[in-house]
Amino acid sequence: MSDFLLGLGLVAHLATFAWCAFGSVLGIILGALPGLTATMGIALVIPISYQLDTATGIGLLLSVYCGAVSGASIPAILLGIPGNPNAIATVEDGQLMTKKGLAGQALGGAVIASLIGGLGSEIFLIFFSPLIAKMTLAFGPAEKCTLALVGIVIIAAVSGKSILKGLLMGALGFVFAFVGPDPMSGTLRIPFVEIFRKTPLANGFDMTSTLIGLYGVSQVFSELANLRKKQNTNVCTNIGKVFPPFKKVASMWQIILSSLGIGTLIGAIPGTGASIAVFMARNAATGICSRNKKKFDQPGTGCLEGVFAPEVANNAVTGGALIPALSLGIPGDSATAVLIGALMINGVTPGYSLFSQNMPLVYSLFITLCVANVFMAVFQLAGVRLYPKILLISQRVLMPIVLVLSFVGPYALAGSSVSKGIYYVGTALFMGLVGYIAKKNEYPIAPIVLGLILGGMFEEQFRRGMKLGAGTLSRFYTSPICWLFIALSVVIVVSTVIKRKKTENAKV
Amino acid sequence: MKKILAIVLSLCMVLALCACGQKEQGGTSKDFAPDPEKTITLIVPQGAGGGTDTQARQLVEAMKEVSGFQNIIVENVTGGSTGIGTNQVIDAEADGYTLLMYGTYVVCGTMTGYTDGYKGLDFIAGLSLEPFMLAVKSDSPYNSLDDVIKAAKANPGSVTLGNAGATATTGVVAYGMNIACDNAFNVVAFNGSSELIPAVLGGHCDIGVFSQSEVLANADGLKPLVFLGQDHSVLDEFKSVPTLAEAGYGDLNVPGGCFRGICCTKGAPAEMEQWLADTVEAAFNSDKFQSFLNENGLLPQFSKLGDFEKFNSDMIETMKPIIQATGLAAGEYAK
Amino acid sequence: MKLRIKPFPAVMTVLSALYLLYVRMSEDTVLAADAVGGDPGGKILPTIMAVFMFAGFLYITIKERPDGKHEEKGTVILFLITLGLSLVYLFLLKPVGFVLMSVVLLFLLEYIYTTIDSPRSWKQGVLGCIGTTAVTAGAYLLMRYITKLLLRLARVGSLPGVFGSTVFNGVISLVLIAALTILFAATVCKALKNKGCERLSKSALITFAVVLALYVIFKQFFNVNLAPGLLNY
Repeated sequence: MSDFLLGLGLVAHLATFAWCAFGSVLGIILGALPGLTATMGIALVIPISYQLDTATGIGLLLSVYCGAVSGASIPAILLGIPGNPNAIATVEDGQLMTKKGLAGQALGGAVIASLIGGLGSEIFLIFFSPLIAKMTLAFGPAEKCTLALVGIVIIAAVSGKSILKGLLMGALGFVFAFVGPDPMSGTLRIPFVEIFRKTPLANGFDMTSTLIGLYGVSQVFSELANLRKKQNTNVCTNIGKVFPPFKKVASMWQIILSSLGIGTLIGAIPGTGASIAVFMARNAATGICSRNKKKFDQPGTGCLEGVFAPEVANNAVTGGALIPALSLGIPGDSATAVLIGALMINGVTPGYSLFSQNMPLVYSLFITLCVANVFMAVFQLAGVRLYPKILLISQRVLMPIVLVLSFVGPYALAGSSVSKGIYYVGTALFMGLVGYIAKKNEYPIAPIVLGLILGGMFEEQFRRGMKLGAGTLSRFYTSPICWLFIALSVVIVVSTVIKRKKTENAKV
Repeated sequence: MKKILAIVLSLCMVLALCACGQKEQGGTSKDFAPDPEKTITLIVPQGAGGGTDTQARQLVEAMKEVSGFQNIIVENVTGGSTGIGTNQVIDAEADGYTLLMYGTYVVCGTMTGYTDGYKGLDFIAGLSLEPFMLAVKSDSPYNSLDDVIKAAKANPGSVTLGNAGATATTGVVAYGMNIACDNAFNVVAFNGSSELIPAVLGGHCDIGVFSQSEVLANADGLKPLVFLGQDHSVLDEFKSVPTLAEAGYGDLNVPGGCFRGICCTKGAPAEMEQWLADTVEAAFNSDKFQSFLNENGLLPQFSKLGDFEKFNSDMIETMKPIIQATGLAAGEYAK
Repeated sequence: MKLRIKPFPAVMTVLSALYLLYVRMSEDTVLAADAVGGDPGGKILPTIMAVFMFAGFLYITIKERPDGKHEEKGTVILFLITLGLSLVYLFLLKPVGFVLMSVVLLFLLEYIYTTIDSPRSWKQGVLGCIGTTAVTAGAYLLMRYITKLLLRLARVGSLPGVFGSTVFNGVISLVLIAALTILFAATVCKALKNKGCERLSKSALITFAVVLALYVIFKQFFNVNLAPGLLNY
């Protein structure tokens, strides 16, 4: 208890709160602008955090982190472009809700969901940190490989009308992921190796540029047909209620709990990331909703459930990713990797010794994380009435701005190198065309992104698992976790196919 | 309309002229200092959060403090076995505003043909040497290097030896050990130490080649077997860990650690390079940076504006046979 | 003659087959040193994916029939214009620079999109584009001149040190842009509007404000090295 009070003492300065507020606002802006990521934001405030007290500095870093993760939902809901990969799964229902005139509720719901996710995962972090850290150690290469398989099967199942088309697009994403260095030997797998080996192409397709291309650039191309139609001048300016009714939120407790668990656990496994977690959470929510049709709307139709599940999960990932980061010194994602570096600069070395020697600091970290989450919610809610004003702008005026922003975003990722920036812009444009053609032919695009993210992970872990098993599949078939994931994949495919057959028969 | 355009255009021209005039005046200051409008970018060719990255960020903060020049940023450019980041520095404008966190890994990248490496770089300063260690999970049956090698030789391929990447320096260590032991190990490359550490802690991989700070951060879960540096570790925790010679394998010639330093694009102005070297030296000698080195068991190896070849020749000699045997060597190093 | 198969899956089938050929013909990527143990190599998964895509798209090509929907001609033209301008942007970004290219892209798209239902004059568009570029370039140079001056004065000590920080300069630039935008709106744009070129003036104003704001946010706050190109000052 005295440790806790000491920790509280470290936090309780006006400066801490002021910097956390600043960090939250900065984080939300970073999250909302495509191309600016949580990783970048944390790297950006490191110099400031270095000048502050350790606890205050950490508060600033955590506020930026939480803000950036939840801010990404704003453009996802309003424009259909996720600010960063955390919000991929929010796009579908968020956009549909906006089209229904429920933008306010979608935005407000996303904030509340983020708050629940952030605080909920923090509870896990505080009470079960050592336990969960041990659990994640059970995830070796073979287990991670099968987890990636589950991720890709889920995304193929939930998006689009045909699971075959979803899987084919996922395979296309895998093929994109195979461009670049071989994950085991580093040998380049690109055409005309001698010409391209020293260009950015040698590193394959950049993930975030691809994401912005597929969602941002392709959106502009697809909207062109609508631009020619008579513009609807009186857009629904009434955004509806901002707060979703409490009863509704309370009734979703199953969805919230499942998303929270999925987000925290996936976030805690190093090298996985939020993009699997959000789709797994959404899929779990779909399952819960279809079992209880009277009580819930179905995700995919533009309902609060479809926004809540991924938004709880992506902020739960923040708490989850901190578990191995603090207890083992191993980052759960790229943002926590920078965070670890920042902590070390601030004189805190994560690992076992942190918990055994510096408990007040650990408590101060937990408290500032809590403050960061609350500030994130307050500032994002404060703006909810403001953001939808963007919808009042005519599509004809907005689309060119979206296009320029979709080019600047990837460019910004490249940092100081101009030619790399141009390569990223090229990637975004190419992927924009791919996405446009796929959308026009009614193929889903989400599996391409997930394929690109998970394809690399799948191949790398598959081959490492095989190598560890001396060329056999022994690492796979001796692991119960692998069996569980493989069974899960099969169940998802079979149940989706059966469900689709049923609805088809019902129509006939 | 035309009138307006004409006014605007002439306004632009006047402004542009003023601007040019200003620029010429500004260039002739006596004491050299970098352009405050520009940003010095220190490129770290590895991911954020690792040992190299942390040292770079520590150094940059110290550089800002000692020089008062605030526009210094760290940028992580990963990929291509550190070749992508190295190439970015080589291809940058030769003005001394783009720096590289140089390390043994750049030599590896040069020998495997990912980059022109040191041939396109000017040496600014050497910083430190981070020694490597071999370690196993704390409840592992192996208690010494001898145990491990005997087990591997008794049943070739059954003992897995992990490293942070096939073309990382720890990868060279692992392959070098394997060659010396007649390919008795199953060498498995991981994607950086952040994947290697949990794999060893979780029992998925038997032994790992780590840098000392990684073992230090996970002292409860890992059991060090052998210290690859010249002498014993300077850290109290690892004083008793035997060196290669003490373990009975003194003839095993593998890189003992990762050297790190600062480089910039070749052909940068001499006064800028001098300023950089002086700033890095002052930063290196600052209390904060020194205590950082001590706490992490890094061996200080400061030198500035020296000859590159001198540093690299030893490393190249040690690594050449290993890299050739892996089949990764390219260009002149393949012969 | 009308095509009886859907072009997309058919093209994808062919591409998958070509990809399969490419994968099979390229060298394997296993290390010589990995002889012990069993890395399955870097070709196995690409091969599986290629075969799966080939089979899947072939199945769809055979099963599905075209529904006869066609894109309208006007949309195709808009698409080609957008794509063309994007490509020009991509290839000229480095030599010409971020500010100028973004102005051209944004202005032309704004002008073309907003004049979809009304008669559009090419002369007006081109002149407007040149004018907007010139005004934005002028404002950009003025802004850079002021921030450079502040930095220099702060360095020699004529101004307090806070003027030397990039964030402070970013804030000053933003205020300046806001002021210039209002000025631009009140003078040139109003004049254009009175002459009946409302769309032109709107496009110019939006372009001016958006490009400069993006520049300040990305370059001055977040240190992104936006290609300077021709305006290398």
